[in-house]
Amino acid sequence: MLLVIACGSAVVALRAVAEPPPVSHKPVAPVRASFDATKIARNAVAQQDRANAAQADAVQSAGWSLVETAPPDERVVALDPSLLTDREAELRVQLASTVPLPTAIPNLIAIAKSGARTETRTAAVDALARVGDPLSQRALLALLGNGRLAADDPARLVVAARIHPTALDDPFATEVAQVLDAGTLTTAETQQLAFTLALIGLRDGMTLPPATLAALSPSTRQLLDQMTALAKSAHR
Amino acid sequence: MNRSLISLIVLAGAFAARPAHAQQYVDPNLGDVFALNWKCVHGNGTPCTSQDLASPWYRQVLVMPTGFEEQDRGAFFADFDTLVRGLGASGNAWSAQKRDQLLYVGYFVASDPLGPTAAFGGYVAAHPVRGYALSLHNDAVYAKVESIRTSELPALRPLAVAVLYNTFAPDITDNATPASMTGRSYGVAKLTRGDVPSPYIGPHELGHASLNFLDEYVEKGFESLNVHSLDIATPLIDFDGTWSGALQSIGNLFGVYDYNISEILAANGNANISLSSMPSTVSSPGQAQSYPYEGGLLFGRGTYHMAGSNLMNNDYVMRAGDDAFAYAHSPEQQQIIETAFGGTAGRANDRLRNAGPINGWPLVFGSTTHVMLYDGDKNNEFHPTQYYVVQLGWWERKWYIVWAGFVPYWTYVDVWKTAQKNVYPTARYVDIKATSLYGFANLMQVVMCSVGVTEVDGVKTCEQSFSEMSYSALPTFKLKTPYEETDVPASQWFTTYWWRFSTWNGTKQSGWTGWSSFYRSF
Repeated sequence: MLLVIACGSAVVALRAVAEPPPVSHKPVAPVRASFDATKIARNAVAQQDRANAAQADAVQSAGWSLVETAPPDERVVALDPSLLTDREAELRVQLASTVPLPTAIPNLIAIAKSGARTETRTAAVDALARVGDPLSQRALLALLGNGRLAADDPARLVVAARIHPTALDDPFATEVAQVLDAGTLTTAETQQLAFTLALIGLRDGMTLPPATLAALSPSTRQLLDQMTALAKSAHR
Repeated sequence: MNRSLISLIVLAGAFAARPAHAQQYVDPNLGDVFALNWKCVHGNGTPCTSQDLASPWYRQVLVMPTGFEEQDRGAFFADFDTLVRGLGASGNAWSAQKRDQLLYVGYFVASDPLGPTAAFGGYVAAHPVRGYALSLHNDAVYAKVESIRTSELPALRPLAVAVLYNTFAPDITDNATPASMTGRSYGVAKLTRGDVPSPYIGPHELGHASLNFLDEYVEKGFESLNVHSLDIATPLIDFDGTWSGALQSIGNLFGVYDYNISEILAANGNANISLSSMPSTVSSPGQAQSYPYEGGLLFGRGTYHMAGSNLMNNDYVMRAGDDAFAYAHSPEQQQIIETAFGGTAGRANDRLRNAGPINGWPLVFGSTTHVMLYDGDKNNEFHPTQYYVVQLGWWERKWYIVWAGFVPYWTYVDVWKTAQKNVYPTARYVDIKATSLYGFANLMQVVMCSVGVTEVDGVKTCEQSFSEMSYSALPTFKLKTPYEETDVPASQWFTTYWWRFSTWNGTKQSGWTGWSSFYRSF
């Protein structure tokens, strides 16, 4: 019996430290103990409470004060697009004032496309750029494709310059260069992407791979040269 | 009356009706009365008194010459008077609006002709991009201001300093260093004698120097270019010794924290420009600013400014009829003017972001984590953030015993706990080596010059092109950042912590940023 109790306590103790706490008040199923385990149970509870109070003690000894606040709203921090129906302003604050996880990319794309307010859609694109993950970079490039965001959508205006391949020999840089010839971009977007590629090339002393350059149209190659010259001299 | 006596009089403010100027003489050519070294006038040109100079209600502009020899003393003061008249008559520009609250102090400094040995080292240099630029040693200007203050004018506390160059040469690109870049309570504007009659150049350049405004116009050739393209240089940033060792080492792992060179350049206390058409990122009561027109800081895209034709704009790229030049100000500029001239902050400092570690960051070791706060108004010259209120939250398991008859059970509920602390801002800098920029050092040079970085390590950034300089002579830019760092206690293993912050600028409390999280493993 004592072995069972010990195991039970150990399991509970392990649960206590091995999992990040859920964000809602959800008591776990009680763990059954024996009749003679009252003292053990009390000790276990006291021990856990002492351990858990350590954080409060730590923050107070570091000069922090305990205050009452509402906990984070799971749907807001997860950037749930369904909030667009009635809580768009809260969603916009979360988008604009935090850096999302890569797992939020699908939600960010959905919000960029379907937010009712310009500032929400734009904040979603900005947030997508701040994720700073290869997947988010590809998602930004995809937003410039046909039918994703209208060419005159203010949210689309901020997309192109947030696309930053890590280097010109990165395969993603080749994808970006190919988009320059795809015919889906506005003139401004074409210039912005070409300018970014030019800056990366000047930063690293590199050019796009010869095969990539050879596959580009003469006008795109000329644009890349123009942007490189502009970035070098800082005037046209 | 000797100058030390004048100083005492000024200090005491004893003679309210006495004009505040030093020993006078009559210029034989102009027949006018000038101070031997300096004179002080109101915005309407009438002499100011010692009491005026000592009054905190007035805002002062100090004008000093370079390249004026002794025989040019009268010419300097004549130009000074013309400049003051022009500033006071510039439509509805700040210098005309606040004419009655402005005092101008003209202080003569005899000098060699423009060149290396001129006062403040003032000379006309080749501009890195076009024509010519005005060059001087900012440190020499700062030293002179301090010298005047300690020896002659204890009440001197300028909002801006204008240095007047003894030249009428054309094709000169004027520039100014705003106070946010000088690290002092005043900025420095450079003007030529040829600029003095212009009703535009004086208020515009002094608008940079005194009010920390950035240009809202677009450079030719940059119409479609976006300031965010410069962020490809962000990985080149080095955190200097103003940051904790922990953040220096972690921060240099680009991607853990969200810092951007575009923010350091264009969203760093210069309130008339933003990187978003809606600069407020949090909800502050009664506040929702809109910056609908794209363009500024040379770039046609990625920077935004308010509607309203104004002194810092021009007619080259216009998004609408009220996106042009005028002797007037946009609402945000006007708020800054009111605050600069004695008002309280017109808005909360609510251009904020939790800048890292990135949400859900799992690699936090140790009992303390360093979080980074982005605050676009941290370096606002007139309502900088006084302190940050940072909140740290976590779920605490509250254990308890339940009984089923005689059987004890123990279980828990998660209880949300929050701790709060005020964090006071500290100047935090980053370094960018011009050598690391390689091929586009010139472009960065022009942008840096545009925001007022005119001198780095003794190298003038608004003249000789970096591409013409030897590699070893290229400077390292040291930039004050809009980021703050604080450490938060995270003592529990395997725990997700949440944090957010708001700001207090001495008048208004901002709304809260969204909650961000990091995960303490072990």
